Amino acid sequence: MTPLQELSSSREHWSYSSLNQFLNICSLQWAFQRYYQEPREFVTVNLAFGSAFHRTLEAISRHRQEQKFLTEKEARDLFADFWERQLQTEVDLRYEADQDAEKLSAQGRDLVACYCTRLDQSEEVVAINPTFCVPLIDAQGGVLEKPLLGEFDLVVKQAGQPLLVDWKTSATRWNPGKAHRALQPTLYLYGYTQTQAPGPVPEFRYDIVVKNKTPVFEQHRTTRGPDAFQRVLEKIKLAERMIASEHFYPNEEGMFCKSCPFSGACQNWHRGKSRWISVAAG
Amino acid sequence: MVKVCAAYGKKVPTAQPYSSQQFHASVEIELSDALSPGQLQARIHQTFALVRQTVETEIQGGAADSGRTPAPPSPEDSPTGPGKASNAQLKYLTTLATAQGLRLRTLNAYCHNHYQRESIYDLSKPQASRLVDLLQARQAKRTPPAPLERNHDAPPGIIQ
Repeated sequence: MTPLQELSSSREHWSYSSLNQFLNICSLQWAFQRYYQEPREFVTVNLAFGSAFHRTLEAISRHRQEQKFLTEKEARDLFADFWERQLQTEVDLRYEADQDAEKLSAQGRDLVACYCTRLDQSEEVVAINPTFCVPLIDAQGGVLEKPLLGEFDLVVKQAGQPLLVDWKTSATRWNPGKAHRALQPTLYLYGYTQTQAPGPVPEFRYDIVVKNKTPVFEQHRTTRGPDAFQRVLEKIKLAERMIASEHFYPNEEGMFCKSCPFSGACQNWHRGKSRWISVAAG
Repeated sequence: MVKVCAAYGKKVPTAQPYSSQQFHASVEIELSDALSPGQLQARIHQTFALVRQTVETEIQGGAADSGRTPAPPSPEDSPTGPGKASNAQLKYLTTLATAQGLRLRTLNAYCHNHYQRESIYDLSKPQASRLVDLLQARQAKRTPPAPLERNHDAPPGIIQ
């Protein structure tokens, strides 16, 4: 399997994170990061935290693949180690008001311990972090130039059926309908089906650990069909037309401005675009 | 005589924040009818590469004049790695395959069997070019699409 880093650096592509940023977060943020290539003003600590969490769950899954199950304490120690290493490699991390490295370490250890105790040990681990690179083909057979690239966190089998799994941490419990509307399952299931023989579309499951004082483990399953795939294809085509025309605008009422690493550039964005002209009457 | 028009355009940021400047060049050449599809595609590829290189050179010069150097491309928008089939080439290849009812799985199996590459996205330019020739020849014969799984047993050089 070609590593994601190699795939992503070797050709232009679409990814879930890029499309989510453009379609759902803020097209102007997308443009600052990926089109105008503005430097980030900071790195949010949540990125580093998420990375340590994923690396821990990846290690837990590798043990599962060999029929070894880590104890809660072993999982806690693993996270502490990954978190420590993460802190050594990241610079200019921005913490929120009530956060610091030690509090996050304790929270992370609690989250992975919760995950570890709630694992379904009967699931067969098929693959960990497998990558995919597939063409985006619309209903008329039109092929987009940039392929879709991604990496599944985990592929398991339940009752002989494949199931794609994505790991998440969340500040709050998820609304039951959220997974059914989310962009990621659509893109990942599209990617998966493109690489397989024709057949039923499998299920996608979010494994979420909610950052409550006592962490809560949630699973949300969903799937998609050809209509959802064609709908997202049309959205991607629209995004490409918007990018070609540089139609980027700030999404100012979303919840993402607070943690946006381009807020300075955003505040100045409109000033180069237009001028007020005073016109005297009479 | 076959006429080929190769065009390449690119937008780059200008000194004014969040605005860009478009560079565009096109060239028209005439080629012999006698060229095989593979040769024809190779000539188109060479011509396009020339136009693209020229535009990129112009952009570099322009950027130096304005005092603003284009930022290195992000991973998401980086150019195709050296020697690898371009996205445009693979788009054409995939379009041909799709028209013939062939899926990515079939193409990837062919790449694995014949080039020891995992997928079409790992092919070199010449390998992708040969696969395009094969698909064009297959299309010319108007072979009806075969069941997807059969290609694993196909003799070398043939996609069924």
